[in-house]
Amino acid sequence: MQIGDLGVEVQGNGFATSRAYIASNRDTVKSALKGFVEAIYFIYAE
Amino acid sequence: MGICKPSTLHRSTPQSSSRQSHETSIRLIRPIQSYSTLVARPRLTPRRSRGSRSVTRRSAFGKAMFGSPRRWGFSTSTGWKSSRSSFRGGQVATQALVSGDPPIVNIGTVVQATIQGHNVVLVAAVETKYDLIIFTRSGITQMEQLRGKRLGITGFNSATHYASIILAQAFERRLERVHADSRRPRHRAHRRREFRRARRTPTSPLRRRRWRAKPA
Repeated sequence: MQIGDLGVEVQGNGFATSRAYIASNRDTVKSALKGFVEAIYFIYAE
Repeated sequence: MGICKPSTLHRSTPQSSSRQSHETSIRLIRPIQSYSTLVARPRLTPRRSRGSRSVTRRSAFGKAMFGSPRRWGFSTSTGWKSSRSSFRGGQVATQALVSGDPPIVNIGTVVQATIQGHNVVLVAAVETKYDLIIFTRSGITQMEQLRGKRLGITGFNSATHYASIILAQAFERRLERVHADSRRPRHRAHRRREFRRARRTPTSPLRRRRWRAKPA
């Protein structure tokens, strides 16, 4: 069974960081996010 | 390994006789080696490349977070120089994130950390549905058969803990008791050892006594 089908919000795995780190190192978080998105596209495309 | 001339093989010196016996033993060993490599241990499945192996696995979502960007070079192409640190469970990774090192982690416990008062934010996630897989003993095939059973989770405040609570609330029933496994650091090694022992333990009572195994 899928918990998502029950209408209950559950968080899966994901990138997490602190708001203070985003404020101080915005470029690093953005580049990490870009690499993450590129990898997802590569997985689905291949 | 050189090839000896016939004239040197027929000399009757002790050195040549030992060499001759060495050559004879090599002649005997070679067919055995070829048998063992070709017949006794055949490769039934073709060798796959490392890249294709990682994509076809079930945990592709998890690999997309850190492993794949690093392996396929997306992290360097996007200007992200990363290094990976492994933690035993989401709780430990959350504690490490709150303490500041590493600054970015891949966890499923952002909600729990936020409830505890930490200023943590989820940047990106790819899973749209959460897979909670419950392993039971044989005989349990329906969810209703889980009523009154104890449910083991990986740890307090873990993603499994919250998912099991949500599952129980969704079915409008309360878990009578949630058992948190305290053997988390040695969990995998313990499970591997138990699995190996279960496979090797004989079924007959006499042999079980000889193995000092528990009676069936």
